[in-house]
Amino acid sequence: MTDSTHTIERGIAGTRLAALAAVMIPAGRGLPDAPAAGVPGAMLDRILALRPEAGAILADAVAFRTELSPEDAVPAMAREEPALLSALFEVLAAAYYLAPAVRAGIGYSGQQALALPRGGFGAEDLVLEMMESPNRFRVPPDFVVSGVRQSDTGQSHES
Amino acid sequence: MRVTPDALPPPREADVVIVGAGLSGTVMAAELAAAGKRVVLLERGRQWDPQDYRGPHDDWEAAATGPWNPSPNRRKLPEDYPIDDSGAEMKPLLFNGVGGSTVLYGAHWMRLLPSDFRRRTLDGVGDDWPIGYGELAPFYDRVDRDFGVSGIAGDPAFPARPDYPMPPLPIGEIGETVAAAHARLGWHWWPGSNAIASRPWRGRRPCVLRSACGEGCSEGAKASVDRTHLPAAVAAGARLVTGARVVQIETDASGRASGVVWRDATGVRHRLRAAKVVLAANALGSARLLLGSGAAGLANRSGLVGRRLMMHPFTRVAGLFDRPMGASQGAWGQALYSMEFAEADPASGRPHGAKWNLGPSGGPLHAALFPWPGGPPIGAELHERVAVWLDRAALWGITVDDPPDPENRVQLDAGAPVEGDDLPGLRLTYRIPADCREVLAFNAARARESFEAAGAVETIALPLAEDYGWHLLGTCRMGDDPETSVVDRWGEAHDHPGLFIADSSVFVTGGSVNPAATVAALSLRTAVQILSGRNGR
Repeated sequence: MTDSTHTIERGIAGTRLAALAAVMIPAGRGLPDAPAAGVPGAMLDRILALRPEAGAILADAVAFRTELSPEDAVPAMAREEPALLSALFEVLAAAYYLAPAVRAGIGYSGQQALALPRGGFGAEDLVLEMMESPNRFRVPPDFVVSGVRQSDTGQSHES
Repeated sequence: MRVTPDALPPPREADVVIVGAGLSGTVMAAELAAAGKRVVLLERGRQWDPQDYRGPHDDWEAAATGPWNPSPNRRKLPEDYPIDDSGAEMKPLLFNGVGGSTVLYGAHWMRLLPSDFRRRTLDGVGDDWPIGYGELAPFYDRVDRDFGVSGIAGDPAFPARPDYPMPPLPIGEIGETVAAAHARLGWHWWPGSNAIASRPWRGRRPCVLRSACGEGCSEGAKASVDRTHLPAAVAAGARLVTGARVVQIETDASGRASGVVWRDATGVRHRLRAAKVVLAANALGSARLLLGSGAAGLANRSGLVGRRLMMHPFTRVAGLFDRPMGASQGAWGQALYSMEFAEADPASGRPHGAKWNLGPSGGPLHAALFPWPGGPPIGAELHERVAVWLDRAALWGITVDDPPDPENRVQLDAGAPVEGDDLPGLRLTYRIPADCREVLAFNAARARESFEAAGAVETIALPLAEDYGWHLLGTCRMGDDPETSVVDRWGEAHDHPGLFIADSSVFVTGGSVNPAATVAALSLRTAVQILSGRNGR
């Protein structure tokens, strides 16, 4: 985490960031809001470790229209600085979906290593139908398929 | 097998120096080294350890927003030169490192259509290539084996071809559903051909359908050239030097290529003399090097170096289904593709072709960051969007053939110096022709119909997915006339014997398919020509 981010996550700035995060990602459908999921907090720290430059996005967001309440600042940001809103949302959402409670709540356990089915690739009968249909490619007037001897392409590499 | 760059003193001489250890450079290196040529590969990026890839980890999606983003402007690693794409309507994606963009690509493995080589003759669009499909077909056959491609022959959208080395990857419930819909519609579909192993193959493990190809394949199932070709090249004597920024191509008094000047990771300049210089730094990097070499650039009698940039306008259409369909996972390589509208049909108002590929939709962050209509799903909408997406969404990707335009180009950006490099960053100009936008819209509407026929309860079509500029083509086109092309039909510069371009720069037109197979086939063809000595220049 950068020093500037460390500062943002604490004190008044951190409070503002948490409030903005709660507006952008509220509780619902049995899921916690962003602060309760560690955004800001442990989950956001992980994103900032991956993306130190994201600290500047958070700083800009915290500094945006501080005279407005968080509830009013978020729609104002959407109107006035949509690029900042998108960047902030990307950072907050990336952190939010790292939270174990959130992942459990949506039934997502990450990408799993799956075994390939042994019974075929699927829809084999439909492939046969397609295979028997007429050619669909256009044939240029000088079309030749055997212009180069196979032996001229060298040997296949075994690595 | 992972290749470790050697710690020997910098090489000073070689038969062939290759700039870039990505797809085309590594294919070239393997072929030449196997024939006994002294080959040096200079790569500006680093050698990544597959253990660093994020697919098996919980931050795989988050990492793709930063250090593993395919945009160099997002990654901003030291080896990534800046690209000002503010004037480009598609944003370039690429990867600087050993393996090049094959480290992050989806490995969709497609051949150009015979008509793609004859757009001028057939449609009055662009130009004809100096070669035809038939001349490239044997090299396509060979690279299919070398890359270990999974698929099934017999697709009526393409000329007859040999069997693929491996059977297709499973198309999944989504694929079967869409395939059945296309059968009812009478539309083309075919199981995806992917350079991804569907069974053990030459030391590679079968795909585990994690759908994280875009963050690097930690399973070793995807054919990235650091796995498929580099070990053989190095075993045959090729040298790999990483952190090597080539800053100048050198020629002798007669104009023949004589070597390169490069900077190492500490900034020290080195000269490497070579009888042949091969550029394999992609359509941006190779043009950058030619434009920045010498007082006025190299190989540019035609004035076309950097021009005719093609980027394949792209969009996505999402189909949301009312039940879980296992759509979060699957090969990120295409489950299936459709060539229903791949042939141009000007009489029907489709001046350019488009290729569709069907793929999985990832995890919750993919759902959150999808460009939903109305902007980011803020507030309670976020939870609703993720709920309807996760495991239930399928994606059509639609790639459109964009005709070459000299005004679409790559230029050196003098205002963007690069630390540790003699060459500045790049500035891109790329405008999507109006008729390509119409073709995109037509195909997006048809893709919605595809999903609706498959039973989707909601479809969302984007007008343009500008951030997906994966396919960088055409900045040093090939041709027989030195006044209208940069390299000849073998990839050798008209103006400089011994200077070759092996990458996607040489494309004359782009077709609508993913170009990796064609890049590999062209590079192999150039390598075989170099070894034959038949051009005799």
